[in-house]
Amino acid sequence: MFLHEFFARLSHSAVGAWVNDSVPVFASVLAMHVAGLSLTLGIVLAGNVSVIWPGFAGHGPANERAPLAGLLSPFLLGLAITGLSGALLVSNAPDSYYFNALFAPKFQLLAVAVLAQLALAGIARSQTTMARAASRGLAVVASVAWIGVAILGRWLGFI
Amino acid sequence: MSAVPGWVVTLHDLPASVALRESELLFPVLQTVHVLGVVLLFGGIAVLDLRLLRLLWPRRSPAAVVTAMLPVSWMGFAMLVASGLPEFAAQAVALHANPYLRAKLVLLSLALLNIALAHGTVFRGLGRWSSDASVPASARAFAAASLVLWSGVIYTGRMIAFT
Repeated sequence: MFLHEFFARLSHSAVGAWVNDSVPVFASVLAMHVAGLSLTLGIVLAGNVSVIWPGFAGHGPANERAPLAGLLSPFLLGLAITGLSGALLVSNAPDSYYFNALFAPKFQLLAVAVLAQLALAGIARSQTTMARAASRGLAVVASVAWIGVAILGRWLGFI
Repeated sequence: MSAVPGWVVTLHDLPASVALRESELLFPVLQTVHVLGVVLLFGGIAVLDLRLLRLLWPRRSPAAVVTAMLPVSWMGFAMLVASGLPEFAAQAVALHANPYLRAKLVLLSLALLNIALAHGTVFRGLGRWSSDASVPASARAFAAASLVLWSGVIYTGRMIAFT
């Protein structure tokens, strides 16, 4: 219930009221959520594909040793934009979102995606055979989970 | 209120448009494909543009990133068109005069024009962009314009539902 209380409080805050009382502001936050998610997934999928398929986006030993180098900070920025805008969107109707049948699965899948992505960022530099296999497995799991998060997010509006 | 053009009514009344409008499953599926299309298109373009602007993946050659991400973006664009056209047909009467749809189409045209101009001019030298120093300033200008235009497409696209 912590999340529900958080969204309810956000809904009654000055920022929540500002977002929820204005259609252009609410639509801007919605557009920010889509843009943030697109940025996050673009970075994630480009990086993960280059882990699965080392020749993607440039051959070379440096790329194969550190396939995700230079992607972590922009990924975290995209995630922050998506998370912040998402929280403001949920604050528009905390009850209907929180008790939506897809809300919990979306967050569970998001947790899997983020954890798999961070674990991947941690082991992708390792050159052992086992680490490479684990990296590829994590890259697949994370990519599928991220796409699932986007799909569940859209279906929240239909259930 | 202006009269609805004949072609809009014809499109709206097509059996496929009616079936789509009345389906509880098809419309959400199409909208999901549309969102995934946006994610692939804008995600791919954002990675490509941010690389050209030196804000992402600095160890990769700009040419390699552009070459890798362009097909991803085009796949997203194909998904957008394939889902967007039936979505419009199903709601043609309600949407045809929507100011945000018109604004979105204008921005979309400008974004595509930006791509065409970039590819017709500075992107011809793409093969030589092995380092940041070899990327011309005009390529960065095209990348910045691209980010602004596609962000506008997303914003106006979201506003359609609120008008």
